[in-house]
Amino acid sequence: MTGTSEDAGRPRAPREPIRRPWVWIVTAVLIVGGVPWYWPPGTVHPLVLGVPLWALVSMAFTVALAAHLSHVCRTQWAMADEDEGEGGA
Amino acid sequence: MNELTFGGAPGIAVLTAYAVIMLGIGFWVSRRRPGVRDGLKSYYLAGGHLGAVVLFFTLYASQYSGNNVVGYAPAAYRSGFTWWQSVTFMTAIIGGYLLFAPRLYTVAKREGFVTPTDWMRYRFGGARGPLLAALLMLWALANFLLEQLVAMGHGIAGLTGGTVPYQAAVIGFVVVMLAYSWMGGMRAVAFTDVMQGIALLVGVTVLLAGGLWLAGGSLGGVVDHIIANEPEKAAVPPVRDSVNWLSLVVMVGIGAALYPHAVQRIYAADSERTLKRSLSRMAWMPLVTTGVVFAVGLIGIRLFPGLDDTESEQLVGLIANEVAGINVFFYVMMILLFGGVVAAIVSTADSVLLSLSSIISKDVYARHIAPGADEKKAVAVGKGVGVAAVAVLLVLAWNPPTLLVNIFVLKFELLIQVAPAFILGLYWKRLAEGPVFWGMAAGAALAGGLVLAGVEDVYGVHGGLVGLALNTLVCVVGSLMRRPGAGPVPVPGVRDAERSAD
Repeated sequence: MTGTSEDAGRPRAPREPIRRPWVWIVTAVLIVGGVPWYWPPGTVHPLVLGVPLWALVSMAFTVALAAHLSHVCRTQWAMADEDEGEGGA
Repeated sequence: MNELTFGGAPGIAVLTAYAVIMLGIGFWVSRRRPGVRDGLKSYYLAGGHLGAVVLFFTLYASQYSGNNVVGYAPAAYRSGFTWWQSVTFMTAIIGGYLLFAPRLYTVAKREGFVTPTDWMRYRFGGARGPLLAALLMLWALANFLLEQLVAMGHGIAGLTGGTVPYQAAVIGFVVVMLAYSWMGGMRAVAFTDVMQGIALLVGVTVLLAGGLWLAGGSLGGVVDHIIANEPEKAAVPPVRDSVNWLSLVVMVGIGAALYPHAVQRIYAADSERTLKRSLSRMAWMPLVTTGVVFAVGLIGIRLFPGLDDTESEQLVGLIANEVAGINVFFYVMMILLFGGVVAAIVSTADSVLLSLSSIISKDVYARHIAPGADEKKAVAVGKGVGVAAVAVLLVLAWNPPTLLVNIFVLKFELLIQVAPAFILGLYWKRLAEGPVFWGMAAGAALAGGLVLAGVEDVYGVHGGLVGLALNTLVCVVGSLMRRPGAGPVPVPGVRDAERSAD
């Protein structure tokens, strides 16, 4: 995804999350899927791993959202052609 | 939090040590960078040279205030599993950043921005839009700061066990905060955030460990207890609450990313690589901070069943008291936790105050009162007005007004109204100055009006988002109604990216 090996030596086109529709489709799905609107209100059971399934599903969506956003920051954002070695405190 | 059994002398010792360390950091920064106070960019943005570790911690410590611990655990206690939304909305903030930060960072570096409204001035020109945005931001920042000062009072009162009048302790802490901020500006604030962020993380982790110990060692047992005794806290919420959940995720996700002190941390990053790495790590922090506090709130349901709304506000103090009684290790850790909570409050307050001062310095004083004033003078004026603002807010904190109390809670509702100017303005060339100004004014009036009228939401949607919808509508329709090319619309954004997009 980072494309560091295949396009080494060539000027890279800027990558910007806003230009990747899939980034926002996935974000929207993970946010909307994490809200328990599609479960019957008042439902507690079934329990999975001792936790109500609806809550477990919501938690899984949030973990996936964190993973997705973290991944997007690292791979879909490259506006400047920067030296890989810089950074640090 | 007024009856912590472990408060008193050890608490005073922790707070004193903490104050000394922060002052030491401020002094060290000012010695290492003698010119730090002379320029707007060096004082308010650390010269734009914050590295990955410091940037990460300053983003973290500014974003997570003491309220994320002492306020969110009681919310989980009252709402049960529905409060998981707090973890989602804190995570969504990274999505909010991704909407504008990549391009804004590039433009800000190229154009040398210091305050968020610099973007508006660059993109739209004119004076009224940036001024209105600055006023909305100042109002939101002042209310946010007021909240931190009230929380600081409660935290310190709990930790000192009433042995020091808490007003005196708060003033002492405010003086320390002002001193290190004055000595080192953003650089000092960011370096103290490293210590403050670590203190908060360690504190909430130990609170969870202690709480679990008391609750019998497993979260499963806690959940069994909730299902058996208060099943409504484990049940799927009504549809209106789900709408409210989604609304809060969107509002906080966008609004918190646009906090002026958050935007200024984007400007302060030393490179794009540093910024995206820090935000990439930040995406995981809600799980280990808000998620842990959520679990602590659920444990509270088992440990202290039957608390009413007011009593539940004391939940973290109640659990900490019990945890401190386990053994000496937990006793010491609970003192450090409350030191961590005070640290989280101070770290948010100092960032907010610095941002407030920067807007006064650059957007109000240097732009409208004394155009052409040198930067050193502008920095001095910003500092002075910042101190006056803290003094007024302290008076308000200790003598809460009985009238129009709701205007002191307006934060996100107003802040989020600058979103179209940033997010649409960065990508849509036709967005014009007039519609942006009127949209912002209409959105702020509607959102503020709803809050003042006591209307929390409309069919579950928060007033801030209702205002934002009106705001966006005015921006889009107003811009489309203008003839293309009518009036000056500077080309925004990044040159290369612009070319590749067109």
